[in-house]
Amino acid sequence: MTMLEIKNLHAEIENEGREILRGLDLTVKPGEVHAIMGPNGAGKSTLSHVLAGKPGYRVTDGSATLDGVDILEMDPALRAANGVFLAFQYPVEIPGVANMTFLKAALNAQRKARGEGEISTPDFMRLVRAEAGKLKISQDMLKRPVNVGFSGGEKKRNEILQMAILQPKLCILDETDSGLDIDALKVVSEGVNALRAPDRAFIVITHYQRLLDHIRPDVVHVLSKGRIVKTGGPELALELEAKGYADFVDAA
Amino acid sequence: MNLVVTPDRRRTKAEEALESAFRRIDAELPDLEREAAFARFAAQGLPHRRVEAYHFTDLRSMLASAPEPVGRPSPEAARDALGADVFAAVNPARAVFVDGWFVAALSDLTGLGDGVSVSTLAAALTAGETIDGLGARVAPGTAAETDPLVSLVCAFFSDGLVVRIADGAALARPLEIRHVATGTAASVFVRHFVEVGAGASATILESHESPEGSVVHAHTLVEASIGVKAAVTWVDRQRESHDGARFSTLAVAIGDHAKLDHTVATLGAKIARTQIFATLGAHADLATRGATLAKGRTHADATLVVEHTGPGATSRELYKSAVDDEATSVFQGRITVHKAAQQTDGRMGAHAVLLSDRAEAKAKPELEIFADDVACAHGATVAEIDETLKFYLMSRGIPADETERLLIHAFLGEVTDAIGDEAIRTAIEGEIDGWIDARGKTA
Repeated sequence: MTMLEIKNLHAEIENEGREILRGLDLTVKPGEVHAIMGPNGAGKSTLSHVLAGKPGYRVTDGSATLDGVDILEMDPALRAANGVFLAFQYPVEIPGVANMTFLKAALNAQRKARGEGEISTPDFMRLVRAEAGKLKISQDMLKRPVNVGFSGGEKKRNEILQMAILQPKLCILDETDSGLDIDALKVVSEGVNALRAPDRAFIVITHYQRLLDHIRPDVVHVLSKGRIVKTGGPELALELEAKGYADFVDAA
Repeated sequence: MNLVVTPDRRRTKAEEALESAFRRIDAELPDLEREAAFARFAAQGLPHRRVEAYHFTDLRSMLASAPEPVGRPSPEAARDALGADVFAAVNPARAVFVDGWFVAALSDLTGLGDGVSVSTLAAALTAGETIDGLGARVAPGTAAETDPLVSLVCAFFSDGLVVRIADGAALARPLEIRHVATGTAASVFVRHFVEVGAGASATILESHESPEGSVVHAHTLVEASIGVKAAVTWVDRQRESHDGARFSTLAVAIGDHAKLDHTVATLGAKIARTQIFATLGAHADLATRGATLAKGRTHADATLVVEHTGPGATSRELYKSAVDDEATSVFQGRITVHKAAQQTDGRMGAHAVLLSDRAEAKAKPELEIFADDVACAHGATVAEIDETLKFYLMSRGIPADETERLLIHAFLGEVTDAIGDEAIRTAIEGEIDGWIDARGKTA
């Protein structure tokens, strides 16, 4: 059974017409953790943006389906309701929107889109309190506007909190380790590991092997020049760490 | 009667209507310096784009006509005119004006506390007071005195409120001055006087509303003085018909060490102009914030003239507008720091978010500084809804329209969050959210 199936995906930056993804193929099954590694400019972030539906990219060829349904035609909100979640490399600050308000609006919007009823306020509060506690997110951070004044580590933990509350099918982590010290990395990784489940898959995009010591992948891919150029087991990440990307870049 | 009229210019239809209306009411109402006021207006006529203060709000071309003033409504018509009770949860005392006339039967001026007197202008004048003798007056020779909209109210006013709060007294409950309209096409002119004594405190609410579809040109002038060390909170909610006009002026003198915290929300009117002329004494503290929501083909203007006359005063001006469809928002703000006003701390910001391709926002913040030891700053921005923020919210499953609602609410939240009283804040937020929710449903 396949959860995410990407076939021959081509995408360019809308205003520049510059092609970034050049025939990318990727298959992810439920329960799996896939790591995507690669040098700067390989297209790692573009892949995550295209899957989440960020404006500014144009898909020129290929397809991406989640449980057999084409997601590329959906707007970002509908993709989220269908189970796609992107943990941002740079989570956005939203002045004037309290974190709690935001979490509740997101959860209820997704439930509504799936034809489920709204969560009751007490149930929501219990859920948030429990998940926030695991991620060491204070009440103050929940009351403050989304990500405003949060440290880099707090922002990343807040991303994982959203993931824990929204319970997506497919979690895409875009360089979640960037800007994290070792303690924050541990908290974030534990949060992610706690969410690993047979019916959930992860795509972990990272530059460094370090994150993969904490979030153990099942499959490791090397992305170069917009294509997957090599796929292997966890040992591939170690090989990359030792040798660098040079061999693969040339191969592509 | 001789009116000074620029001889070589053909008057507009609106100007002609105002003049003939003035001739009629001048014969009916007590004089009260009306002629001098009308002469001040007539000398210039309706302001136009070459008049700097009206550069972006050219009333000469925008006002196609001026409806006639109307008389006192019947008690039934007055009662029917009461619209939504926006400040119900605040439970304020109330002075209700219908079509510009005070209606005692709809008002409740009880429980205002010791040292507080509230009467109508008519009652005050009957009791032998003179306009000149009323303490709170626009200072002669100021920008307010020569303003054409101020002159019009001084020429035409039908009624008004005289509020006096004695030294050291406190208004025991908020006072709402509520203005509603029967819906009859009319020009309405109301003139209020508010005098807050030294060390006194008060919360005053203004509410302005006219039934949707009605053509009411509603003019209000508030002349206020805030005594030494007094503290006043003022919240003004304006929601006129989208076929009507709202012209509001607050001319306020803020005494030494006195404080005024002012918020205005403007949500309606085809043409709205809110003017604030504020003079700050030594160590006075003024905060004024505005939320303007304009849609359809409306035009909303907020114009501030803030004069720091004494040392050590602080002023904060924050005006935000959300502009949809083909609407226009205008902000003009001038902070003048007089030579004596050393250690002035002034900061002014005007920010607009454009919700459609054809919406427009114009901002002209100005500083005029004659003292050498001051900290003043101003800034203005015009932007669309931030795509990055929108994508972030959508990526969590929040649909596009709800995303915009959240972001507009958040944008204006900086204005409403600063309202200290929760019931008042909730009332104003409710108005704003109602506007946001109705977006796109009606033009």
